[in-house]
Amino acid sequence: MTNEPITDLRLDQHLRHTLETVAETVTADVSAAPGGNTGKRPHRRYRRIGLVAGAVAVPLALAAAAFIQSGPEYVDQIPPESIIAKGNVGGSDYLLVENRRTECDRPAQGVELVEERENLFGSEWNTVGEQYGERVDDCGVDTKRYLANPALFNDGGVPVGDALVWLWAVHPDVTAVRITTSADVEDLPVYTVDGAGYALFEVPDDVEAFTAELLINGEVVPGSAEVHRLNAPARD
Amino acid sequence: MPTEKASAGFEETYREQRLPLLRFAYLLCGSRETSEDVVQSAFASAQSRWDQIQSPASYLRRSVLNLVKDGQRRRYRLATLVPVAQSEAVVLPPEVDETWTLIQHLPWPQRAVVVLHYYEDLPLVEIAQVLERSESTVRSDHRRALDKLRKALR
Repeated sequence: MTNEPITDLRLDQHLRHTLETVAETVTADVSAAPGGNTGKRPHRRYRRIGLVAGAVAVPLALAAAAFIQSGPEYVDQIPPESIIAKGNVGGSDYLLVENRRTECDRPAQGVELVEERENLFGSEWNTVGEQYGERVDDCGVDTKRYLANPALFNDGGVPVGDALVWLWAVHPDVTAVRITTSADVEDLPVYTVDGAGYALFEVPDDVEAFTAELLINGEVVPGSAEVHRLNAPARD
Repeated sequence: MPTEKASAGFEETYREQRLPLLRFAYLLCGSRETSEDVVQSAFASAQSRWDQIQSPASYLRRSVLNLVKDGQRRRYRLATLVPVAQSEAVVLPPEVDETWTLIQHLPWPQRAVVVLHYYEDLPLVEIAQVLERSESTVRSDHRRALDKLRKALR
């Protein structure tokens, strides 16, 4: 806009104008009927975990006392043996647990991240999960192509306030996920669940970008590097 | 089973509210496809309990907000499992385009606060209720969002 600091009033007006202008680009040209079937997958209560930077996940033989309660729809109890790792960030405990959901009446593969304060007893589930392989339908994932190529993986991040936590589902041969930021290099441990590997990274608030690479016994898997730019608007 | 009167009210509300809800959803998620999906889902969910809904417009807005919020999380989760459809290209004035890009890159709570405050005209106190967050947290989200936008736009 200009090199001058933008005033509150001007920013207020600019935001209103921007949002109004963008909104007006949406027109009612969709043929959907009220209440009709969208044909989309039903929405699930399977949501997020809140993390802030600084925690370290630890192997979970130590976590028996940290389990929270779970159930099929509302938080009831999580069996301690299903907990893979735990940590604490910003005064909030979290768990990495085996996926306790079902898909088409079969136990779902993969993991869930569960933040305790977002999953208090009796509340609806509020977690996020990750699975290894390609989703073929609502009933599961196909791992054939992934297992043939260790460079293939799934990952995802969840914004929580100004923080993100990133979760990877990787080939079973992968032994670590290397994170490189402008300030640090860190090898994340990989936990084995359902024959695949899972790793998580709590993205520090001041990190604007990081590179993730998969390692097998200390060697980078060719083609596995991925650069993540966070909160950086795309510019040409 | 909805009564005939309720059914008429539902259809009228659909005609009146669908476009505003689509626009609201689009500002929250940045995807026309997702906007259509969540608005349709919100109406579908409301239809079965239409007789019990006191304030349909507020109910539908809350429903859209929650569906987008969940969708945001799920979209991140499935980012590499399912290809995310690209939004159709829309030509915007450069300053609007730049600011819209910045808004889209705000963390979800901050983006929601910005949209609810500057598009829906909700005071921060009401936004806290809608987002089920504390007032102090919402004020903090608002301040952080403005700080980022001001810094990027100067």
